[in-house]
Amino acid sequence: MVRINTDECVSCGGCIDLCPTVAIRMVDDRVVIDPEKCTTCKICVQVCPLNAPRVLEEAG
Amino acid sequence: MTNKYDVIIVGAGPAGLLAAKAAGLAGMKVALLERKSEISSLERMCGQTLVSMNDYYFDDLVQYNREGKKIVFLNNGFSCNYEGPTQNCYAWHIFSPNGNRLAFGLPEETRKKGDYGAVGLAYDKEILFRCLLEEVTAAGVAVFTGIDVDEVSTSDEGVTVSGSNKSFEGLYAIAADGTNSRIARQLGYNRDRTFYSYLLSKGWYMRNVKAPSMDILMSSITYKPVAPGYMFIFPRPYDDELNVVFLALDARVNLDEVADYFMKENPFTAAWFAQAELLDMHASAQYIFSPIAAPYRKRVLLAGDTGSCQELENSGAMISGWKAGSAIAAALKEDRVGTASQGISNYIQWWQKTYIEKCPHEAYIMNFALPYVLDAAEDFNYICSLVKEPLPPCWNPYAAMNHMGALVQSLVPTIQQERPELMPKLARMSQPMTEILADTTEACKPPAHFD
Ligand SMILES: Cc1cc2nc3c(=O)[nH]c(=O)nc-3n(C[C@H](O)[C@H](O)[C@H](O)COP(=O)(O)OP(=O)(O)OC[C@H]3O[C@@H](n4cnc5c(N)ncnc54)[C@H](O)[C@@H]3O)c2cc1C
Ligand code: SF4
Ligand code: SF4
Repeated sequence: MVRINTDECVSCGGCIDLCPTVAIRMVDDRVVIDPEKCTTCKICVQVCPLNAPRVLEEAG
Repeated sequence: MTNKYDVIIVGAGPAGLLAAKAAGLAGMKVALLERKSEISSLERMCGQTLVSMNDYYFDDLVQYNREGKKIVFLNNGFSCNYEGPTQNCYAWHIFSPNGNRLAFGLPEETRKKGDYGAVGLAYDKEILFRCLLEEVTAAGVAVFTGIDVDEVSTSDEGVTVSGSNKSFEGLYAIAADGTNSRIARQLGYNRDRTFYSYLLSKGWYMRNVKAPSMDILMSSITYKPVAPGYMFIFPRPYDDELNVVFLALDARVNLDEVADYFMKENPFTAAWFAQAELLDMHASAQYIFSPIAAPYRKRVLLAGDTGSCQELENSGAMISGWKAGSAIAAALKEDRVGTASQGISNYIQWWQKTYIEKCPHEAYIMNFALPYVLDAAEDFNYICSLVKEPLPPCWNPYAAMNHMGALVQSLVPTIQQERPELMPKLARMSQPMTEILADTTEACKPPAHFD
């Protein structure tokens, strides 16, 4: 799955709009990924101008 | 029934705020939903200039009334408050990599005309948002923040808009949720659109930049290994500040490398940034699609970037928002008095006439074509070296491309003689943008399920 490094994200909203599965949302001005919906397609990783989304190794 | 709104507007950017103001002033019961918690905070990158202050834009002429502190749209007959600082922008200069320049206007000349010599107006968008929010609240609009809308369902009688565990019922909705709109996607619009590329940006407000002028717009290009990168410098309405933005259309381009190129490697521009102090950072990421030709479906009207891809710019977003809010108010009145429906069809006609026909998508994207066509720095340096006279003063992405086309035509005899090998490259400028950008489009295609 992918997680957003909140230190680097400026909440521009770009990845929220581009995530194909609508897994990214704005909650209290923080941009968060719903792990249940994320398919690790890495679109957000590709588009974020600040490299804030990071791919985490699958557990197990 | 009491909680049913006449119209629910999603997104409190320039388009949504003006739509809310228009519908609220018309006496409609309006809900405005926004995913940010502070409407006045600017999250997405913006140049924060009003484009095209010296010519018609979307059939309107925009004016800043300094005494009254209002942005006035002379032709459409509405205005909005802006009680913040401004900076006139007196020209737009494009620099080739070695510092030759293509000038849309000479600031030494345009400054003499004061406000009427300005091609653009730099303002503080957070202050604009604050002023608009006050007007919207005064117009009786119910504003809900922290609502990230993820579903719009419609029936013959109305719409239900939900997000962040809340739900709102209305008779109509206006989608003003901006570029790559979730609502437009849900309504199936993206299936008919052509994908061109990304538009990615990253930049900073900066102090202490020794640019050639602090009151003109400046841009330049770089030829990075995979695809071009761009720099745009926008004046700021604060002493010694500029808004420096790095852009690319191709997701393979690393914007940090683009920034490094302009700020450290290119000797001409690096000199400007030697002492630069970096302040706030902003970014943006979006797909560029062809526009939506008929922005109304199932009781949902689209306004601003939702139906385009930032091609309307702030002025166009405000005009279309105002018109969309007025159109829905008219439709509601028509429904109630039982007269024939015109409000919404008038809006669609306006959209098609002023945007789709007069300000075409191709012309807008063409602004990014030069480094794709003249694909070597020397080519661009050379072409700029031929330009002896300034082009007309202009900060209008559509008009600029006409001026540029005429310029290239006038240079053809010289180029044919001196550098005939450039002719095939220049001929590419008359190809459609889908062909000019083909490589980038192929490399950056969205997943098939982005519909
Ligand atoms: C790099 C860059 C430079 C630019 N420079 C200029 C310039 O110099 N001059 C100019 O005029 N224009 C410029 N623009 C374009 C300008 O920013 C846009 O055209 C303008 O902001 C469009 O206004 P809008 O209201 O349609 O959309 P937006 O301003 O994008 O507003 C959309 C609003 O909807 C909210 N929203 C989105 N999704 C949801 C959801 N699901 N639920 C609830 N709320 C949601 C967003 O938070 C946002 O507040 C620039 C754009 C970029 C990217
Ligand atoms: S694109 Fe990057 S900076 Fe923008 S909201 Fe997503 S993670 Fe944050
Ligand atoms: S990896 Fe793909 S599915 Fe997961 S959050 Fe990013 S864009 Fe969405």
